[in-house]
Amino acid sequence: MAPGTMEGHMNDKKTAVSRRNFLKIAGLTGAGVQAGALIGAGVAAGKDSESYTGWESFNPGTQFFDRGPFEFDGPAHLPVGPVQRPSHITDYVFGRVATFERAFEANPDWTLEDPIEDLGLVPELVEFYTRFPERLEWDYRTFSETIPANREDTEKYENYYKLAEIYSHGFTAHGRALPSPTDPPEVSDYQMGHEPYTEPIGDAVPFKNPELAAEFFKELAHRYGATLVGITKTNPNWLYSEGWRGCPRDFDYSEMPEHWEYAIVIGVPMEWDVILASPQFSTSYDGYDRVSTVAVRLEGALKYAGYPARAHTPMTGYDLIVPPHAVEAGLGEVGRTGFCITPEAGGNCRMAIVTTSLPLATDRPIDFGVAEFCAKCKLCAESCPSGAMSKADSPDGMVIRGYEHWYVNNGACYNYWRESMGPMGCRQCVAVCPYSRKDNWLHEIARQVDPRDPTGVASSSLLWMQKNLFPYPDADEYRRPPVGRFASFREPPEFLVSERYLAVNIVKPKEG
Amino acid sequence: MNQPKSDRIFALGALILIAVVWIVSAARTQGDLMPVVRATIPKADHITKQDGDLYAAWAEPDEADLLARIAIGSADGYGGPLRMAVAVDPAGVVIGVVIADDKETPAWMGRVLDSGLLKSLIGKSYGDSLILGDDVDGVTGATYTARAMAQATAAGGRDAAAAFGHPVEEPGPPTIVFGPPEIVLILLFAIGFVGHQSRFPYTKQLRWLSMITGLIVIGFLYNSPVTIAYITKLVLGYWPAWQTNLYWYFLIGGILFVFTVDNKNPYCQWCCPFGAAQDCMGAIGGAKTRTPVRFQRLLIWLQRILTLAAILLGVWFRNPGVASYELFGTLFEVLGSSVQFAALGLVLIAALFIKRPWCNYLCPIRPVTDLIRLIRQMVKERWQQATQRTPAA
Amino acid sequence: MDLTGGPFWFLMGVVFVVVASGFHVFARDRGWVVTWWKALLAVVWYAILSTSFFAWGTLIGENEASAGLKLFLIGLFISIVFGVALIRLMARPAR
Repeated sequence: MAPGTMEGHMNDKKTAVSRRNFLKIAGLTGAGVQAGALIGAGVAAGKDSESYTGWESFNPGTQFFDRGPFEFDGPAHLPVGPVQRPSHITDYVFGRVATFERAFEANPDWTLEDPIEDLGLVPELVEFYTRFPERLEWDYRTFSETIPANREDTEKYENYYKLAEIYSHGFTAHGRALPSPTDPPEVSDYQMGHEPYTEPIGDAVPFKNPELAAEFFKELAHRYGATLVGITKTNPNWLYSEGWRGCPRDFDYSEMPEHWEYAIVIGVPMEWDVILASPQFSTSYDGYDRVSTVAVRLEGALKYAGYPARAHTPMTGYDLIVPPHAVEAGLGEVGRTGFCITPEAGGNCRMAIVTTSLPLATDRPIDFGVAEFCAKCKLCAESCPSGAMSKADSPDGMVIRGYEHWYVNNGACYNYWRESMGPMGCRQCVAVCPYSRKDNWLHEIARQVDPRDPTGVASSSLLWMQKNLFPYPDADEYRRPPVGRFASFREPPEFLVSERYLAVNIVKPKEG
Repeated sequence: MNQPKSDRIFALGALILIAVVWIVSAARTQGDLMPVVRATIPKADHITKQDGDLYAAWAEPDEADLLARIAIGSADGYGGPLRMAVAVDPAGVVIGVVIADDKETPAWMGRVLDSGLLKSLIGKSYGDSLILGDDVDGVTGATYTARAMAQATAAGGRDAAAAFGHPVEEPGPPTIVFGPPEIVLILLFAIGFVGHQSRFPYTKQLRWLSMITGLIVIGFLYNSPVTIAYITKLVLGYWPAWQTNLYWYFLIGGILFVFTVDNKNPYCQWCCPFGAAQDCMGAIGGAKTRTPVRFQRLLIWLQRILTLAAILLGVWFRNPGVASYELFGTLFEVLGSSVQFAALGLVLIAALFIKRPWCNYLCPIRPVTDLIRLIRQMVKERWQQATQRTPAA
Repeated sequence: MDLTGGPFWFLMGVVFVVVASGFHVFARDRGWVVTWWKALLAVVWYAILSTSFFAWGTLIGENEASAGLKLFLIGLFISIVFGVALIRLMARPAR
């Protein structure tokens, strides 16, 4: 069929006609597909948690990451050496520095050159300081240099951070009102209400099976305000070796109370714009108060259902340590910083635990690439104002109390909490961690692609972008003048800018 | 081909100017090393200079309590000799380390400093050989600088420990480094030699093979293209130990050799990874040579003046890397300032439409090769004149 | 009310159809024969460019304007190189 001839022209017309037909059919099909998709999108819009006015973040939708593909049969956190339980006297930084402070106040002329025995510390602490001399150095520096300097700095600069303090103290006021147990677990965990209105918990309400019990209490936890919930068995190795709330000195701490068998781990992030203005403008208390509130609510619900329960929270105190439980419960993985890094909120996740005896289905731990990423990243260690974190590629050989993970010098860490301005604490490692990012499509791509790429190209590219596109002040800039300028990672949100709202004299820190 | 007279005058003037700057910058005083030495032991009461490059630090004014001895160790860095002031206590342990002098490219030195390499050297003993990767963590992408720092520290540590009376073993001759980069370089020169022959039928394909290999290996894998720093290093006389720097010798030597023998440039069209990158862009965008004739001479002279300025700056500051304005590292290591990235982006986009814009308008190596050609021409002419004057009997 | 919700993307879809029609006419005027796979590449190219703008805006919204600009410039660079290649591809006579 030669083109240009009548026959050829007819054939062209035939193929032209079938191409047109194809497009017509394609168009019609497309419209049909759109109709179906629009119905689906409509259903999603109707169900969307964003439409629940006032309860947008009080629902399971906040735990949006699908952990399924990354779960593995635990346990995730196994000891590599003889296990030692953590101690409120030595490992727990607030406990240790309080003891040191008292001893230092009694011996104000003591210096690092003097023998440690002169301080009159309990033997466990002396042994601890002998094993970790760098912690003694930093604790000493905190009380001899840093706190006095901080008093001067506060006098000069406090107005600049006033609104941040006001914001934080709203949460502190509420958090401090939350009740702490005043009796040992076998008493207080079985009592509802608080002095003087207490009554025993009733008969246990039977649940059909542990899966449904877990499902119900997780739904409750979300509606009480939890962003993340996971369940695991409480590990006796991770209970403090002494100092449980409500327990006398001579209490038998060797055995875990049987009714602490299950641990419900909950996590709540700190406010995003505020946390990015770490270390000076951010606060831990918005996260602390909110997560402690959830835990206290959950404890109350469990007790009302007839099950003994005890909340372990930042505001009401802990009898156990949380991060390893969070890892076993599949909330996340432990990274370089020592806390649990979660897929939804990165390091920006303050956690609490409610122990109970109700049989609950436990969750499995997850592996979503944190260890590999932390090995390359090191942004937290490079940004840490007191150099408290290790810059080693891997945690090999760093064994603390029998477990291997990156070493963090919490004495150096605490030291900067006392040096920084604004609400107490630093949280710099939380802010700079590339995992601590909000939930928009850009970060969602990173969240979904990174752990699924076996070659590591995705994570290297993302890390390159993180380090080269985004500004990172030097660690020194966060220090007090003249060494630094009390820098913050990002500018504070408008609502914390004192200049805008307050009629006070504001002095901003500058490099000397 | 006879170069015009202006070229010869400029060449001569440039060489004289470089020589003058060389002499003057050499005459500038070394600079007192005491501030650097003091920085190694801040808590010392005072420091006295001893024979040679040795210093002693005392805890008390009465010189009864010897805190440390400080020595200056030296090793070949990327741009030239790198010197470290090393303070060693009586037990032979390194307690202070400060950079005394370096010729490294600032961005790469910054990388090494950020990595905490200096801090990790403190606490090492005089007996440690401080080999990167074994005793000391290396620094990605800044191997020459990091290695030189470690070696210089080891050398200084040994000298200071020896002054205390410790038995010090001088290290044996350096092990010869002959690995993939050196092998690939020789291979590419060989390929270029074959491909250059006028009768070779597959020159175009071979050139592409050679260029892509260069792009991957010399570019992205090892980031070792020829830069003006290599030339300035040659001019300054910072010729490194051949055992560990065969690459540099092969590269410079190879280019000079082929020019002398063949009057051809074996590098730019057959090895240079940045040239290859531009060629790839050109293939995508259909690049053509587009210089309007009016501007040709102007652009050539601008390029020459730029090159001369870079060499003079490098010689004046005795630091080959300081005026190395190439964008190669920005591409192959993805490291640089916003300005460098912007410039790189513009050059690569220009390469879509213009053939090898960097090579033709900005690269400092082009004027250097032009100069080599000119000198060769002049020598050849003189030689021919000389042989003509004495006719064969 | 969420401005980037359903109605927004519906409108974006409509606008995309307008853009595609414009491209169709533009291509025809230049004598380009746009086969299905060339059209697909053009769509991919447009997606890369559009995503660059979207990413820039998202990062500005996150108070990371400088990072947004840098990411956008990277996307723009890729779009320019890919775009030049695409134009040459389009102009090539169909086999």
